[in-house]
Amino acid sequence: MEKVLKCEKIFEFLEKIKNKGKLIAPVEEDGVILFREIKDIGEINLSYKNSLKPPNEFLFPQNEVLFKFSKEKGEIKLTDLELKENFIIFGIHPCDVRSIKIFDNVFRKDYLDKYYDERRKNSLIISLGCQDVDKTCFCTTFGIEPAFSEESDISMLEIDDKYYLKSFTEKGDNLIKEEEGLFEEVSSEMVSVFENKKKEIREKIKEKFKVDGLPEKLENLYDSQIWQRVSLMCIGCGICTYTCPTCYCFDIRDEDLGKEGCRFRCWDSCQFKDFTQEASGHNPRPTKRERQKQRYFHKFNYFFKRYADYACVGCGRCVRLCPVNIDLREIIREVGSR
Amino acid sequence: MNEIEKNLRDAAKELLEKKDADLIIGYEKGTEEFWMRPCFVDSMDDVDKLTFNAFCNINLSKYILEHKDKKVAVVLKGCDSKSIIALLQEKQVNRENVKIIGVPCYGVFDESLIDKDINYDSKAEDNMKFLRKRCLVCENHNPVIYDILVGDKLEEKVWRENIYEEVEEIEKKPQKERLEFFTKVFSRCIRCLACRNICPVCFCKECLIDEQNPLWVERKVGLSDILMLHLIRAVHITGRCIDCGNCEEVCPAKIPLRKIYKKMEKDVREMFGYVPGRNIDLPPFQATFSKDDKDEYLEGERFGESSKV
Repeated sequence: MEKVLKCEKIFEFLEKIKNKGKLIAPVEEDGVILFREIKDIGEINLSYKNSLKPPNEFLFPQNEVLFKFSKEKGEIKLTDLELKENFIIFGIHPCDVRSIKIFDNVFRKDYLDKYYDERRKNSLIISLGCQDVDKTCFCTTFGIEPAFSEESDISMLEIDDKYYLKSFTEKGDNLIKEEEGLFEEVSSEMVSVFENKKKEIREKIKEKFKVDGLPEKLENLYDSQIWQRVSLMCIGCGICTYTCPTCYCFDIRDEDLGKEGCRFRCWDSCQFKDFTQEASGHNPRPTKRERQKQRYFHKFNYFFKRYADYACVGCGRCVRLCPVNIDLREIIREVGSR
Repeated sequence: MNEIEKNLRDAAKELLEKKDADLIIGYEKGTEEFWMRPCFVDSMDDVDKLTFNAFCNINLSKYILEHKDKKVAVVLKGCDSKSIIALLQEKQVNRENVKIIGVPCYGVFDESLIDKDINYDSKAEDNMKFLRKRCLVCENHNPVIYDILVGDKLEEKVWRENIYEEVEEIEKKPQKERLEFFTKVFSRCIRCLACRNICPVCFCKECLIDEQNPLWVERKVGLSDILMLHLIRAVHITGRCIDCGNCEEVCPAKIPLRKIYKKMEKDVREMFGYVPGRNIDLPPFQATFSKDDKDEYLEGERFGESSKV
C-alpha cells in the first residue's frame, strides 16, 4: 500500500501512532542520538545520521530480565515475565532495519528465543530513509538502499514537502488504513520523483566494497599479520561491539538480592578479555590479536557459513567511534584484495 | 612535512639504527581526513609513516605497558608526558627501556568543532576555538620529561584564566541539580569501558570492575551500577589523573567525565598541594600520608549543608 503524507501532518501522524502503543524514536541529547520512548512528540529528531546504540536494542535490550525468583516460607518461587506491550519503532534507518533481519536469523531460526520473538511480534517498524549520510556509511556494500527499506512494516522517505510511504506487511497496511484520513494518494509523477530521490541519496555513499568471496579469503588468513597489526592499536574496549547493530553476544547472570533476585542476560563483547575466560583459568583467546580476529571472522565467515549473510550492515558506527581508528572498511578492503 | 615531523622521523631513524629502540610508538595518518592513529614502527621502511600535527590526540603512554619486553621509544606531548611520570612513580615502567620523544604542543583540535578550512599545518595557537577543552586549561605545553625534544620549547601559558571554571559551574549548583545532571549524562553510558581502557593510569591486571567474586559492580547499564563503576574509577585515579582528557574524548555517549576528574584534581591540589605528573621524585599521591593532612574531606564541611546525609 502506497500513500503520501504532507510534512506538516507528520506530528499528527506521530500522535496517532503514540496512542497505539509505546513510541520509540530518535532524540538528541548533548549531541548524541538516542532511541527512546517518546513522551513529547516535539523532541523527536528526524534529521539524524546515526544513533549511538542501534534501535534494535528494543528487541534485544542491553540488559533483560529473563525471570525472577524469590523465597517465601522456604519455597522457591519463579516468576515469568509478561511481554505484552505493543511498541512502535519510528525513524529507524534502512541499515538498522537490515540488522533486525540479521537478528531474526539468530533468535528466530534454529532456536526460537521467546523474549526476542515476543518483542518482535509486539513491535511495528516504521523506517525513515536517510537524507544525509556520514562519511563512514557504506550500507550499499551490503545491497542496502539508504533511502528506502523494503524490510520494515512501513517505510517512509521525505521528498520536498511530503513523505512517500509504503507498507510491506499486513501490520503496516492496517495502520495506514486506520489513519486513512491523514494521507493522500500517490500521483503518477511521484513515482519518478521517488526513484530519482532514491538514486540521489544512494550516490551520496561514495564507497562500495567488494565483499564477494570474503568468507573463503578469510579461511586462508587465520594466521595473518593483519590481526597482529590491528591488535597493537586496539585498546580492548567494547565500543565496536556495543554500538554494532548486528552484534548479539550476551552473558546470562543471576542477580541475588538476598530474599529475591532475577536471572538476566546482558550484552557481552568479544573484545573483553574475560569473554572467553574459562573456569579452569584457561583463555582460548588470550590476547587482543585473537579477539580482534574473532570479530571479523564472526562477521564475514562464521555467520555467513551459517546464515548465508554477512553480520554487517555498513552503518559505520564502529568505524566512526573507534578511539584508535581501527577501520572495518580497511580490513574488508585488505582481505578482499588477497 | 612540518619541522616537528622531520625531526621526529630523523630521531626515529637514529634510534632504530643505533638499536636504542626496537619499537617506535607514534602517530600515523588514519583512514579519514584529520583522523590520526597510533602507529608502531619497528623497521626503517616504516619510519616515514610517522607524523605529527595538531590532530594527534590519543595519549600513547599506555602502549608502553604492552611492550615491556622491548626497548621502546614513544612520542609524547606535554600532557602525555605527565602520565608517564605517574607510571614511573608507580613503578610500571622501566625508565631505562623507554626513550621519550617529547613534542611541545599548544593544543590539539577537536574535529567536531572545526567549521572552516584547516590543514595539517594549522597551528593550535591560531585556531583556539577548535581546541579540545582540556587543551584550554593545559598547564604543561612542554613535555615534563623527555630524552629527545623534536620541537622548539614553547612559552608556558594557560589559555584560560581559570582552569577550574568547568568544575566551579557544577560546584555552584545545588545538590539536587548536580544529581540531575549526573543522572542524565550517566544514563547514556553503554558500559563499553573505553574510558577505563584508554586511561593511562588504569593499568590494573585485575580491575575491580571485572571482578566476579566478590562482585562489586553488576554487568548492567542500570544507573546504580553505572554510577558505582564511574565513582570507583574517579576515586582510583584521584591524584593520578593528569587530564589527558582521552576518557571523555573517546566516550561514544559524550559523557563529560572530565568534570568529575577535574573536581578531584582541584580538591587534591587545594587540600594537599599535590599536582600529579609533575615530579618524578615524589611518591604516588595515594601512597603518601602526613599527620598534618587535612581531613575536611571526611567531614563534609567543605561542601556545606547540602552534602550532609
